[in-house]
Amino acid sequence: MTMSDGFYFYPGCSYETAAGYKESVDAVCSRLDIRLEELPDWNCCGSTAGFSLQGDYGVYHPALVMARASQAGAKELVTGCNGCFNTLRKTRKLLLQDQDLYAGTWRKILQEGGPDSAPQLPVRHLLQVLSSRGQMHKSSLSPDMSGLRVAAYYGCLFSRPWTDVDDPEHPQMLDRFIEGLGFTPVNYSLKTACCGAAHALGFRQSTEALVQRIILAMQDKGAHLAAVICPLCQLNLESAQLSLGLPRLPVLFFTQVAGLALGVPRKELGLDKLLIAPEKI
Amino acid sequence: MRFLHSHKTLDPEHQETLSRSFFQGRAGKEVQHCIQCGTCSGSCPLAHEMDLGPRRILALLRDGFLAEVLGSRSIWMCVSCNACLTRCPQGVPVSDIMYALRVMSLEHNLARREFKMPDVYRGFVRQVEKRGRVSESRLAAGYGLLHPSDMPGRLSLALRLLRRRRI
Ligand code: SF4
Ligand code: SF4
Repeated sequence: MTMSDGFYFYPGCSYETAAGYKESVDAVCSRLDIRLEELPDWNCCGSTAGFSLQGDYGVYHPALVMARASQAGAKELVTGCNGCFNTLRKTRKLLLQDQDLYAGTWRKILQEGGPDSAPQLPVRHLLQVLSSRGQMHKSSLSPDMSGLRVAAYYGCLFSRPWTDVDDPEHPQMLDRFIEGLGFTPVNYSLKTACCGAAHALGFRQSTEALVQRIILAMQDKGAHLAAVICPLCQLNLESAQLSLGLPRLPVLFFTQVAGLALGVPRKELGLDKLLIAPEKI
Repeated sequence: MRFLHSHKTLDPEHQETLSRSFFQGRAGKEVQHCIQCGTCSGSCPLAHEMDLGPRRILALLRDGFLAEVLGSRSIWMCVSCNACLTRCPQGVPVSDIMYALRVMSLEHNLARREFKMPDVYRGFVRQVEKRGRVSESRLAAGYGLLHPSDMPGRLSLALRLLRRRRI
């Protein structure tokens, strides 16, 4: 994926510090000959905080991200964070359905010295990009992974409310991705249940109860590890387990899981940054 | 109305103006499509933590209890998970309605300190505006200064993250 393909990568604020996400994305993309080029000079999308304080005007920061991408010549933005994915897509939808908001947002970006380019463009999740390369996994797989049962966890905002990405209630893309890598996907019922998101900061007991249900559902179906596609999901699913006193289930990024199947050395996958070490793997 | 324990009141005239401006906005118009089926509350992962679930919020809004809703903890307990609006048979964008209510609630100074999330969001947006990007550790530290009693539990997590170079 290079700018010659018309893509830019939007990492978002949590990407760099997420447990081995960047490391594993870099390692896997280089094995698959995908070149991720980061959007230059990007800003935070504002997430749910922007909308909570500004209502529909919360579109300003995500629109600025997309205006920068348009100006740099991108036809599409790709991100590996469910929060950014949803904020950017939601913003695009709001702008396209309300001409006044569209024009006003563009004007405000200009007034603040931002780029004079369309503040919206299509946005895809990194999982969609890697999934579309599904076929190439099998040929380059080394170890036999079929003994490992992996629970795909999508969280809220990858498939909801985006009916065009996958089934909003029963998404399959990550399950097929895991299967394509040679793992055994686990069928359980809470794949899109909420991890508690930013409420973990102020309402920890409530969000830990949400995580407890999810982890128990995974373990109940015999999962050895969970694969996630969002930095905040990873942090919540992993950190809540430390205080819950359950048998612990490692929570890996889907790119770390892919790296294991592609035979990437563990060091390169940032597995040492996980709070719950995947010892059995 | 026992469940409306946490509200501050507004004078009737003020209440009237507020109500008019809410129902003229996008969120207010959407409220009118609700058929009170309760699918949203049944789908909400945090309904049991809310003094009012999403269905009840919409019912109260239509019955003219805007100020009570604006002063409730519930509008801050929504995690924007979109479970409700994905399933709503009427396509009511419940999380957007929550956002519109939050904005009004802050404008009229009806949110209480113990709702906590206003401080999380303010800290977040302040960073975006000042630095362009957000650092999670800065966010947690800023929040901790305002709500120190929530911090002891987070400290051991912070140390573990630090040890793994994640902060
Ligand atoms: S699901 Fe939709 S129609 Fe049903 S109560 Fe909730 S908002 Fe109203
Ligand atoms: S978006 Fe908010 S109100 Fe709707 S189900 Fe999720 S937490 Fe509940």
